[in-house]
Amino acid sequence: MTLSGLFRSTTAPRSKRRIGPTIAGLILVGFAVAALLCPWVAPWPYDQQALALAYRAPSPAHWFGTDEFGRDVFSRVLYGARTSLTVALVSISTSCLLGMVIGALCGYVGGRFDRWTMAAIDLTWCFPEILLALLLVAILGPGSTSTVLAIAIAYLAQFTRLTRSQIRALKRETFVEASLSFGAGPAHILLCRLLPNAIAPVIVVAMLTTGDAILLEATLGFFGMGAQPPTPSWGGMMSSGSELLFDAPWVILWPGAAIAVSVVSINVFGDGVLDALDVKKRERVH
Amino acid sequence: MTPVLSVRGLGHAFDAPGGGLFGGKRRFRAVDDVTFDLPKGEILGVVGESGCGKSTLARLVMRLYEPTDGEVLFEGNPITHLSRHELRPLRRYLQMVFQDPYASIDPRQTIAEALSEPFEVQRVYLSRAERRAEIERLLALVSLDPAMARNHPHHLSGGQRQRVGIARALALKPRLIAFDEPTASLDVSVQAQVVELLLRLRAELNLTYLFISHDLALVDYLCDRVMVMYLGRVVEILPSRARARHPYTRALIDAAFVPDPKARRTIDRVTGEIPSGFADLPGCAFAARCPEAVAECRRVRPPLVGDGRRAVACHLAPPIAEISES
Repeated sequence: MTLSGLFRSTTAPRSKRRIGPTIAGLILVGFAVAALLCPWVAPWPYDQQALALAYRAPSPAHWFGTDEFGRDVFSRVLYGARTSLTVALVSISTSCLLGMVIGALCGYVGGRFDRWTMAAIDLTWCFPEILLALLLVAILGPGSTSTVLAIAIAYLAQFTRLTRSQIRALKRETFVEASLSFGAGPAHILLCRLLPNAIAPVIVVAMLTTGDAILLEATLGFFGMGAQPPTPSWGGMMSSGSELLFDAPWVILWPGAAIAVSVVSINVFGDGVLDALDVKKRERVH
Repeated sequence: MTPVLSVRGLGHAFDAPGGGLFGGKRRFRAVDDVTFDLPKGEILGVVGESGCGKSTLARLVMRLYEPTDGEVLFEGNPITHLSRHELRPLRRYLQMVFQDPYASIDPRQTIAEALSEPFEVQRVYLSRAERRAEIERLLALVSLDPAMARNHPHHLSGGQRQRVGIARALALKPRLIAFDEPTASLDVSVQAQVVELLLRLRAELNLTYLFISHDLALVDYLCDRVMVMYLGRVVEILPSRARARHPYTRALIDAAFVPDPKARRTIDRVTGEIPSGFADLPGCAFAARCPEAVAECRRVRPPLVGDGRRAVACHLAPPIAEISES
């Protein structure tokens, strides 16, 4: 299936296929390629300082201008994509996988195990993400590991609850009873019947949450709790750029734009995936 | 000969939250002291109004629910206390077809996958060619096009899906199939086809059916004997088309639609409400609505009396001898 085929609106004729998610997907691929290939794509090393060239406006040599140490903002935005996207992806996949395992077990087993585990999971909702990050930074020291852990814990309850409610609803389906009547055990029921049917909404929420994770990573970076200098992160760059907001706005604008574009792209792309995965919607066409 | 299925005093009760905010738990008896035998080759219909426990009975026999009382014997062997692992080999012989053909197949499976699931679960290893042959055999058994194997259930009509459900139940060469209202969600014309299919399969494959339904005309046509349930209890077991002895059975038959505009009948209307399943009724469950009830009916629970083929639970029921004369 081609990328555009994936997002063809199934109820509308071919000409009305949705273009938004396709563009968003291409932008995300662009970001990912830039993050992967930045040592070759970036015109300057991200940490090459030239104090004489500090706070230069965008020019053909420095497309996005230079920052307070005369470093190339364009190169740093590219390297920043590496930090931001890695942290967001690693934290959300950890959170999502762990949440699916715990949620599936809670939803399937039920009873006292479910009550106590969910109570523990819900406890994480009591802490604002920033506070959680502060706590982890205090224990582990600042850096990407603390950020990843803080974001993973912050979204764990959401994935657990979603998976659990899916599994609980699916558990009562007749096709599960049918599998039981052949003699299927819990492993077969969970892995072959319940999880494959529960996974689509979890994947969509994971995609949409990745946008939030990028924002949260930027927030933590802005407060100096994320990746440490000189490693560039979009949040950290905005933080240093905020000192000369009016005299050198490009220092804060470009990483800000990168955050905005990536978050919006992920949300639009996530919506497209939601439409594409909607089994019931497809069913109506036939 | 040992009956394929024997049910002895089977009961299923569960605790439901009590009435009111601080009410304690109350016990609800979905199935209460059910006893019957199902000889090989027979079709036993189970009828009764919604909520009388007939679907629960089928699931208890299948061990999809755990019975709280009594025993189920399959070919003379008790299966009630077997663990899941001990039960698995027996499951091949005991299969079930469900009411809703739209919900009983995983929407993500193709028909071929749905039909090979019983083999996977039972760890019957088939080569690719054997698997394809098996799927073709099963589809042919229920008169479906073998090309359908590649389709997903949403490409199929209700009747076709129900045939797939039946084919899947036949996969492991069962001896007993429990049907939980298999035609209730199908069009009338499709119902007839499915019923003919069931009769043909019984003859070809030497099967025994437990057939849950609330369609009296259908049960009369299809089944050898009928078991009537009311509030989780068996009120009467009788050969189909035989004269009813229990007032509730008579009321059910009277309420059934007769497709003859010239037939004018007088009907004993049943009045009153069904008692709550929570109440521990000392007497007959039907006493509150029965037009013939006497004081004893409300006080003493009538036992199910009769031989293996027919039985009735009513203090006032006439003996069989009397009934067969008329």
